[in-house]
Amino acid sequence: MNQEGMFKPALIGGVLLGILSALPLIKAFNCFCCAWVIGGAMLAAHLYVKSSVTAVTLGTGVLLGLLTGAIGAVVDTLFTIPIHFALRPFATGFAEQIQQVLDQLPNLPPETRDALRSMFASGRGMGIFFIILGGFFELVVFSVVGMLGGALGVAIFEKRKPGAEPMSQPPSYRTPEDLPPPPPPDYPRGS
Amino acid sequence: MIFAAPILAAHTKYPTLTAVLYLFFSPICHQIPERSFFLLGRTLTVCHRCTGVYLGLFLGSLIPFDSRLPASPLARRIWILGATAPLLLDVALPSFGVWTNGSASRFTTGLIFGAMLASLLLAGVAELTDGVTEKWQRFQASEIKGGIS
Repeated sequence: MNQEGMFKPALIGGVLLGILSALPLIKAFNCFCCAWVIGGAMLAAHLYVKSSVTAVTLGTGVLLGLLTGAIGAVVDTLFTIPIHFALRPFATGFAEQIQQVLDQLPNLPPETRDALRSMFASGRGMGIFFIILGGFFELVVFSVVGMLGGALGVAIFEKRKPGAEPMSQPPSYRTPEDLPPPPPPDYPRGS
Repeated sequence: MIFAAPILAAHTKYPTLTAVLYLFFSPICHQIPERSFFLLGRTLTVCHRCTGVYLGLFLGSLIPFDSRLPASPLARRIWILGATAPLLLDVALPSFGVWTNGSASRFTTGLIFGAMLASLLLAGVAELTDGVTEKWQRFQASEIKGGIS
């Protein structure tokens, strides 16, 4: 398992999934079986399979997906903070989304609902606090779902059997310098 | 966690914990009440399809390990396609007016997809844990050798 070669594909997949999961409206695609997270991890798996000279196993895919999901969660949280402030005047920030979810909770006592609502809407500091708290949630969820995506990506894109000969290595041959010197002219030959 | 939230919501003592559970799943599921199962008069934290996926993951992990995943890459891809196609068709066909999905189809296609994911995930995790155990045993053996010499 080449752990150094794993970082670059994980970073590409993680950054992509993190950005897409942070953008308003586009992030809603995650509601379909965490499509961006699974897609990002599958992209990382594809890139890793393409660059690997030996067959990539499911275990490597799981590890790669875990790394991709974790990077994605961090990138998502970092992008959500400026987006939250940029969209605050349009009332589509994180606090408003939380309020929408709270409104959907059935049979929540009115006083508790009001208390939670005022807590979420009580200023910028609280908004950032809940974005970071949400980031920790996402770290767990994206890592687990990323593991699924990584395993899925390896199972789809890896066409070689484990333990098979590497295909991208050139055939072994000897250069003239490697060959033994020719026998001297007076070398006794067999009769 | 999926089933805990409506149970907690029924007991009004834990509103914050209930809210946290619903919030936990909100980035990864639309949580539309019309597309969710109800328990004790409250919706689960995820929709029909996601409930199927999570239940499939759980049930798939209970299947004996040896019979879980095909060894050849081609058979594995056929298994993935076979388990994913019903879910994709159930999502796509209603857009063309060919098929109307319901709670049963959403749940069942999610269940099959989840079971497939469990087979891949557990094979990968088993490989990783085997590798770690092997390394640990080698480390312990080298420690014992170092102690003797």
